[in-house]
This record gives sequence, C-alpha cells and structure tokens, in this order.
Amino acid sequence: MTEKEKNEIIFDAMLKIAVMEAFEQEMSELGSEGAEVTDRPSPELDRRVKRLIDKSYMKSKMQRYLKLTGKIAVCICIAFTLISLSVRATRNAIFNAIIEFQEKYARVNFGDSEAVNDIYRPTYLPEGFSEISTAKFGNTVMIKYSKADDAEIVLSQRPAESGALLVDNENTDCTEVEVSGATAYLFRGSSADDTSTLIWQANGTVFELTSRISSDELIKIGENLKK
Amino acid sequence: MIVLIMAIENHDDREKAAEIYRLYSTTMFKIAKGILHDAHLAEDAVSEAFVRIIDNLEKINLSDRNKTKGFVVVIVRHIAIDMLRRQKRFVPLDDHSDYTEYKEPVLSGLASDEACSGIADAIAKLNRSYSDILYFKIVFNYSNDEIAKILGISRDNVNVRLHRARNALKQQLMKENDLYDRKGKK
Repeated sequence: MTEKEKNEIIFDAMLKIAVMEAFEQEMSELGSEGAEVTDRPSPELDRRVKRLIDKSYMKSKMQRYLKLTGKIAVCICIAFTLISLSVRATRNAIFNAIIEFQEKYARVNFGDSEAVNDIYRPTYLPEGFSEISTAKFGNTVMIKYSKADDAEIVLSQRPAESGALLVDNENTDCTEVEVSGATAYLFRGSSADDTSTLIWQANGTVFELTSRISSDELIKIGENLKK
Repeated sequence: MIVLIMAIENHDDREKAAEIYRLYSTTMFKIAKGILHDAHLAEDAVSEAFVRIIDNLEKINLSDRNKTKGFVVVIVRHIAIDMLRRQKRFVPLDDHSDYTEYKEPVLSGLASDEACSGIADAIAKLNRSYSDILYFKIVFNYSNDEIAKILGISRDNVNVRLHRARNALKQQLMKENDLYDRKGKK
C-alpha cells in the first residue's frame, strides 16, 4: 500500500466521524423543537401544507384501493376459471391472460373484457366543483372533480362482474343507505378532515364516491348519475 | 375490513406528515428565510420541501428527532438554494473539479481526535450544498440513488457533488493547516 493510499483511508475514516460530529453540532445549534421562536410561518402556509398532506393521503388511498381491488379481481377470476373450466381449457385461459404490471397496480385482462364503453357522470355537483381529469385503470374509470379550495370528489366505476366489492357488512363504521333504490355502503369520515366513501352497485356497475364533502352531498351525487 | 386496514395505514402516514410539520415548520421556515431573505419565497420553499418529505415519509423515523430534523433541514435548504440559483441571484458553487491531489497528507502531524475536530470545523465552514450531501451519505447512510431521488437531482450530479465536497474539504483543511503553521512560526 502506498503512502497516498494509506492517507486516503485514514482521511475517509476520520471524515466519517467528523461528518457525524458536524451534523450533531449543527442540529444542536438549530435548537429544540419547543424553543420559543419569533419568526414563524404564516397561517396560510399551515393551510397549504395541510392541503398537500390531505391530497397525498387521498391519492395514496385511491392507489392502494385500486391495487388491492386489482389483486382481488385476479384471484377471483383465476378461482372462477379453475372451477368452471377443464384442465386443458384452464391452462389455455391462463396462458392467454395478458398481465400488465404498471407502476402502482397490476392489470389483468382476460379476452376483451377491458372495454368500458359507457361512462356515468353526475348531473349534480356541489357548487364550485368541476371535472379535472378522467383516468382509466384496467376496467376502472376514475373521474376527479375539484374546486378552488382544492377540495376533491373522486368517482370511480367498473363493471360489477369484473371486481370485488370490498365492504365488510358487519363493520360498525359502515352504514347502509339507499342510492336510487339500491343499497349502498357509506363509510362516513369521523371528522371534517376525514374522507367519506360511498359504494354501491347499479345497472351492472360498481360505483365508488370518495370525498371530504358531507355524506348527504355524496348520496345526492350518487342519485344523479347518467351515461 | 380491508378498506379499514388501508385507511389506518394511510391515516398513520397523514399523522406522521402533520407531526413533522408541527415540529419542524418553524425551523424549516427560518432556514429558508435565511437563504432567500423573503418570507413569501421561504414559505414556497417549505411547501415544496413538504412535497418531497411526503414522498419520502418511509425514510423518516420520528423517534429519532435529530435525524428527522436533519432530514427536513437538508431538504428545505437544498430547495431554497435551488430557488435562489434559479433566480440567478446566486454565486455558483466553487468549482473544485480541477483540484489536484497533493502528495502531502492534509492531516499530517495531528492527533486523531484533533484531526477529527479539524475536519468537523472545516465541514461547518463548507458550502451547505457540500455538507448536506455528506450528511446524507455518511450520517443517513443513503445510496447515491436514494440521495438523487430525495433531492430530485441526477445520480451523476450526486457523484459530482460528493467528489467536490471531499475536495473542497481537503482544500479547507490545507488552508487551515497553513494558517496553523504560520501562527506556530510567529
């Protein structure tokens, strides 16, 4: 080992200790969290960050939900296929399945079941809301509505036969309500900051509405869906 | 039940993000304002930093307060410096890319604890972009890819910054050694 190499190794070892020391020193100089500070961010920043957190929460909730429904749909489809088809046909069906793994969810299409030709949209929306995006994840169509204060309503819909309805009827947090004569499951948010979710099935389609707006408004939107 | 489990998982993340904001928003604001000298811009920097923090929540362990504070500080400082650079009001970082290795060791003749303190002092005097990248690499033990993702820069940029940080540190130490020698000779 040359002298230079030796020096580099010694320098790197000391650098590690020194960086940790410098870090500890800087953090202690920044003061404790509870210390009195005169220069504080404005309440507007508090609101902005709260909106960011809520938005991210809602987005990740939807992504997890879609991912999970995708997985459950795959299991159900495979289970039904195994039960209803002969061994040879089963093998063919599985080999013919097109599995598309995407960033946040897995999509499995059997045959041409991918098509969702008609999309339901609400004819009623609370004041100030307008459509901002429509996205298709496998058989699920997700439409987002937003208004100036960043409040959001998300409507997702998919063919009833292609997925699983993730509702625990025995769950006490879930109440049964009626949407246009159909039984719907309402997961009511416990506070104004929590989102409520309304899930029901009508005309061969499973609908899901998620938002922080009142449950009554969610039901009203659900009752006013048209193709 | 599955829906509820998912909700709880998400709820924990939301609580975690809110707690980070409650604990460190003032520190983050103070750091951003110190760099940008404008309260509105500083709030923009904090807000942008929060988007990054939310994206990397899994890396934060709230029970380790010092590391959590360090994590949010490095992110907001990086964003504030970047905002300043975008406004073209910022003197570019010293370019240490043409730095040539000296044959003489930069810490010769010093005891190890003395040398460590010397390096720690030199780190404190370094450009923040350099010390921050050293924090992420050494204190947080992040890979170059992780650092690139958190700071929103390329992997190559991380490599270059780490290299320059080391060189800048060596130059700083040599400068201080010269000063030390001159003082000693007086």
